[in-house]
Amino acid sequence: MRQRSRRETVIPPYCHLVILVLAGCLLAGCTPLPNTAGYTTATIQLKQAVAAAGSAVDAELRSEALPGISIEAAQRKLAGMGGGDASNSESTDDTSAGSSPAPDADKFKQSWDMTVKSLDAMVVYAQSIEGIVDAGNQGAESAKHVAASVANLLSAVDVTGVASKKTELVTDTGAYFIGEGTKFVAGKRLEETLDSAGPVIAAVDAAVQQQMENAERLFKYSIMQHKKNLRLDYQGWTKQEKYLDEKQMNAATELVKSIKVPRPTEGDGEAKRSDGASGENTAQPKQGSVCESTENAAVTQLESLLGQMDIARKQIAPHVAEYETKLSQIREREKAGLAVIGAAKNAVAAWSTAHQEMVRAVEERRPVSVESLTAAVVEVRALIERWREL
Amino acid sequence: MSDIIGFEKCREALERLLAQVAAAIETARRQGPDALQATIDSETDRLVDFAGRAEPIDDRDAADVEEIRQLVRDVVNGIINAAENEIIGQVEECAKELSELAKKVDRRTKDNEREARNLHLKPVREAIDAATNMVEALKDAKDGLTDGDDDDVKAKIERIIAAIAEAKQAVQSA
Repeated sequence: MRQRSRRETVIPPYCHLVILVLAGCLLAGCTPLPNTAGYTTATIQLKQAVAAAGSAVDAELRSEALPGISIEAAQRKLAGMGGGDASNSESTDDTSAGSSPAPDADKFKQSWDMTVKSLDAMVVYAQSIEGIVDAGNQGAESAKHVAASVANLLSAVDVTGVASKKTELVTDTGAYFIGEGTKFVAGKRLEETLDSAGPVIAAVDAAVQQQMENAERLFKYSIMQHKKNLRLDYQGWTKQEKYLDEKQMNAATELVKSIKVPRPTEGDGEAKRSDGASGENTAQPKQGSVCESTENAAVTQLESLLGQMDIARKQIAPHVAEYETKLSQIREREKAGLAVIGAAKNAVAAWSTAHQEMVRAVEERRPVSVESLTAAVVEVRALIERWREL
Repeated sequence: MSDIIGFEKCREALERLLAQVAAAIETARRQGPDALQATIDSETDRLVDFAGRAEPIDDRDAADVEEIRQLVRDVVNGIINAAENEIIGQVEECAKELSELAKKVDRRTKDNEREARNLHLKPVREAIDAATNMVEALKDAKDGLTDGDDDDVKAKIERIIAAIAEAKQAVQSA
C-alpha cells in the first residue's frame, strides 16, 4: 500500500513532462520547416556565374589595351599641327595632360574579385539558414533520443510500477511534443531572421545587379573599341574593296548595256540586201560595221577594265579576308560574352526572387522553390563552357 | 573616292567634327549611361569614317594626313578608354559597398549559427528540465522507502538522480 502511494507521488513528474511538451505543441505548427538546401546550392552556383561574367570582361579588357587622348587634347594637338612643319606639331607625349590611358584591367580584376568574395558571405548566410531549418527539423529526433534515455533509466528502476510500454509511450509523446515545440521556435526564429536580414539582402542584391550592369557595359565598350580599331587597321583595304565594288558594278552595267544594243547580224544584212530590189540600202552595211567595231572596242575596253579589277581584287583579297576573319572572331566573343553576362544577370535576378520566395515559403510552411534560379544557373554553366572554348 | 583631300581640308574638317563629337557626348552624358554608350558608338563611328575619307593631295602632305589619321585613332581610343575607366571606378565603388554589406551579412550569419546551436540543444534542454522535475519526486520516493527490499530501488533511484544531474550539467555547459 505504501509503495502504491509512493508510486502515485512519482507519477506527477511525467505529467509535468507531458504538460510542458503539450504546451509546446499547442504553440507549434507541427509541420516540417521548408528545406532551403536548394537556395544554398544555387547561391554557390550564382557566385560562380558572377565570377565567370567578370572573367569574360577581364579577358576582353586585356586583349587589346591601347592608350588614347581626350578630345580636348586632340583639339590642342590639331591646332598646333602645321602642314609639313614637324616643329609646329605637338607630340603625343606633350599631350599627357589630356591622355586617356587604356582601361585599368588590374583594377577591374581586383574589384571583381572583391565582389565575388562578398558573395561568399551570402553562401555562408544561406548555409546558416539551412542550419536553423535543420536544427528545427532535427529537434524531434534529439528530443526522442533524450526521452529514450530517460525512459531507459526509469524502466531500469521501475520505481513507478508502471509498465515500461506505458513509460515509453509517455516519453515518446513528450519527445514528440518537445520536437514540435522546437520546430515551432525554429520556424519563428527563421521568420525573424529572414525578416531582419531582408533589407541587407535586398541591398546586396541591388549592388550585385549594379555590378552586372557595369560588367555588361564595360564588355560592350571593350568590344566596341576592338571593332573600331580593327576598322582603322584595315580601312585602306576595305576602302579599296568598296571602290572596286562600285567600279566593277558600273563597268558590268556598261558591259551589259553594250551587249543589249541590237546590232545587225550578217544574216540580217543579206536579207535586207535581197529584199531591197533597187539596192537603196547599200550604205547600211558600212554604217553597221563602224558601229559594230566601236561597240566591240568599248566592250573589249570594259572587259579589260573588269580583268584589271579582278587582278586588283585578288591582291587585296587576303587582307580583306583577314579583316573579315578578325571581325568574325570579335563578333563570336561578343556573342558568347554577352550571353554569359546576360545569363548571369538573369541568375542574379532569379536569386533575388528566390530569397523572397524562401521568406514566403517559411511563413507559409511550404516547400521552397528555387527552380527558376537553378535553371538560370544551369544556363550560365552551359554558356561559360561555350565561352571558354573560344 | 574621297571628299576630304589635302592636309588643310582634313584639319578643318576634323576640327569641326571634334567639336560636334564633344558636344554630342556632353549632351548624352546628361541622358544616362545607355544614351552615352550609344552616342559614343555613333560618334566614334563618325571619326573612323572621317579617317577613311581623309586623303592626301600628293606625297608632300601624305605624312601630315597620316598624322591626322593617327590622331583620330588616338581620340577614338581616348573616348572609349575614358568611358571604360569611369565604369571601372564604379565597379570599384560598388565592390567596396558590397564588401561592407558582406560584413553585415556575416554578423547575421553568426547570429543564425548561434540560433541553430541553441535550437539543436533546445529539445535536449527541455527534456532534461522535465526530467529534473522528476528528481525531486524521486527524492521524495527514495525518502519514503525504508524496508530492506527497497535498498536496491534506492540505489537505482540514486543512479537516476546522478545521471540526470550529469546530463543537465553537460547540456548547460554546451
